Amino acid sequence: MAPDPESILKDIIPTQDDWPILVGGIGALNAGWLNAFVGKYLPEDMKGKEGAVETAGALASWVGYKLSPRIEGAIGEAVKAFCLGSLLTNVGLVGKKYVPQIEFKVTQPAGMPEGAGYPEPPAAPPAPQTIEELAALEARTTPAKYYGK
Amino acid sequence: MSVAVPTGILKTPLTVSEQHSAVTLAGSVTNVESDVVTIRVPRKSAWSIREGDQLYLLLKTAAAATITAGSIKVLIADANKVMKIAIVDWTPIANFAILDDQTKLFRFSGGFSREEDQYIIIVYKGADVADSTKTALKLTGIVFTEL
Repeated sequence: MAPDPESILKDIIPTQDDWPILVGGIGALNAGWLNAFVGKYLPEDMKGKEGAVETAGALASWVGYKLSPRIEGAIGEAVKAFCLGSLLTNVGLVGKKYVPQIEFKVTQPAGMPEGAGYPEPPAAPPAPQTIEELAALEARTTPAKYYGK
Repeated sequence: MSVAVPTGILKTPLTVSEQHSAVTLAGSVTNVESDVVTIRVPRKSAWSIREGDQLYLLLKTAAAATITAGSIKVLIADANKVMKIAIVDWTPIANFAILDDQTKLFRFSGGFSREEDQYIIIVYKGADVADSTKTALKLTGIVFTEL
């Protein structure tokens, strides 16, 4: 028996209670801003290290996420969602540096260059550098001018 | 203390006559392949003889009679004259003895280049005996000189 389409719709239609997701999204988008803000206060020698700024941002988000319940009401909820969003982003940014990334590459089938255009023109030969190379090139490419009739 | 000298490469026209310092002339022996003209490319230079460049050669006997019988071969050789390649194989000498008619001047059918110390050799074989002091030569091309 097919599921009642109405019940599925009911489940997936956003409700008023879903607004923290939007705030979390904004938090995720603003992770860069948060990181820059926190990163400014990092010690100089830490700033250059890979992932240090993101880690600091993640810690700040974590602290915000954990402390947000102290703020009562909707604002507390908003802060929590914002911090959670940026926390997840920063965890992802830090984790990306340590987890091997899989690169998906589209391999062109042999004999089928991408697009219907012309193949790449061959690279130009290196310019002659020595007198021997110059003379050889001159002899090969330039005919003597003929002024006679 | 070293002195910095400007370096570069000059490209200039080349006309080689029998008086050119790179040219060594020799007489011939009857019916023997004789190197009547030996041109050695000077140091620090490379010659380019292009398609259409001219070669004029006039050989005379000791009695100042122009040699019209016999054949000419033009070779290029490395600095040790170990490997010789004919770029103009046996050709009647009369083909090279024309200077006043542009349409009949001998012209190379393709280009070639020679580096320093390498040779261009003109070989004559014929019944007459060429006198080296009466040989006339003109070869055109381009020379690249290292400064």
